[in-house]
Amino acid sequence: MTENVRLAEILLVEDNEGDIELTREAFEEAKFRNKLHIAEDGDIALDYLFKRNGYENAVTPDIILLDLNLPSTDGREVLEIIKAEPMLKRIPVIVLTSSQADKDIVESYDLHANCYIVKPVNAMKFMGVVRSVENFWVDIVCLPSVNN
Amino acid sequence: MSTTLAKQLANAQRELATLQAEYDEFSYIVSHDLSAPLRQIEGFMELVVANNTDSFDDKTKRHIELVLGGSAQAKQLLEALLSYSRLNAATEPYTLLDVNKIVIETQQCFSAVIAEKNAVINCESLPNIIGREAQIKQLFSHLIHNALHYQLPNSRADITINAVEMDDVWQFSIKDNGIGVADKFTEKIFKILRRAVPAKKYAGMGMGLAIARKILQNHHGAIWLESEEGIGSSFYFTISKTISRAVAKDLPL
Repeated sequence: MTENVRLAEILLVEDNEGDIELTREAFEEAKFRNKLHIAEDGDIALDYLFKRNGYENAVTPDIILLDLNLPSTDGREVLEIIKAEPMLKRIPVIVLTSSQADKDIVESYDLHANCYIVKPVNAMKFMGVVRSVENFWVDIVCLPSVNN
Repeated sequence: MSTTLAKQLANAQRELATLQAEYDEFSYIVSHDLSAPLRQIEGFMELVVANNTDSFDDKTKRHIELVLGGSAQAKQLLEALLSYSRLNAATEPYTLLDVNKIVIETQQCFSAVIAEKNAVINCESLPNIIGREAQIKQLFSHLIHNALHYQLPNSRADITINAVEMDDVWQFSIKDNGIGVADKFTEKIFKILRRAVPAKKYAGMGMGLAIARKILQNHHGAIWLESEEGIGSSFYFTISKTISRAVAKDLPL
């Protein structure tokens, strides 16, 4: 790995403190290659992505981990807005939620989610899933270079 | 009434009673059987902490905090859901209620917050209505609480409570100068556990307006709001003017 390799910027949109902590810890081992940003509700996520209301200096993320059930603006709406915005629509959005409802799965893919993952209840498994996501989307997948 | 109709009515009433009994049992089970394991999690986690204060590293301390935080939140959710489910039974009888008195009592309950926020509650002469006392009190309590609570920091809450007489109903309004509600949330905020603002900014469970709407449903009334972000909200609700109308709508046929 050369020194000028840029860190992968990951935006986690999540309101549950426990899940934030587990994601942080899962990413800790791979922190030399990525940087985790947290948005605790839908409005903050949109402010971050559109660089407004105090997030003017935010870095456009390479991937987004999105919970569906959020306070204020719902995750589904956040997804819809991201995928309708030319500047953001290429960013892979990984829906990471506790909902196993078919309706949510179908709706998320219809809204162009890049994949849908149900959060495992078990904490170790949860961290394993987050590590797999990181490994796959940061290491294996070829992402468009962010050019803004 | 024909015998067939009478039979149908009796059947419907029996079915309703069975459903109600099942529902009551379910609520009881949920409240007692679910809160026991939650108490266990909290209690034993606290014991672990008390007996090992110095032996945990920071990460473990943080994990314990999250366990306790999670179980406290689950307990709050459980209580909120129960307070909602208890409203199901239309068991409380209708009585004549003095709304002026109810509003004054509610103000007294919130006197600490009112003093702290230097709030003003303007109240015109309000009518007597026919309603279920505990529920109507709860309704005013939630609406006044919200008007006081959802304010910008350091702003002085200015609340006006009013009632207008219509053909069949009284239309009440509670107007505030608070943070307001964005258009896209005007439906969502009446749903169970759904909120327009995150709990970090404004504490709350997302139950008050769901309860308010349920109470109005129990009274065959309606609730809605008009709001402008940053300016304030006006919540409106309607209540039947006459007991005959209210009771008539309670009958199954």
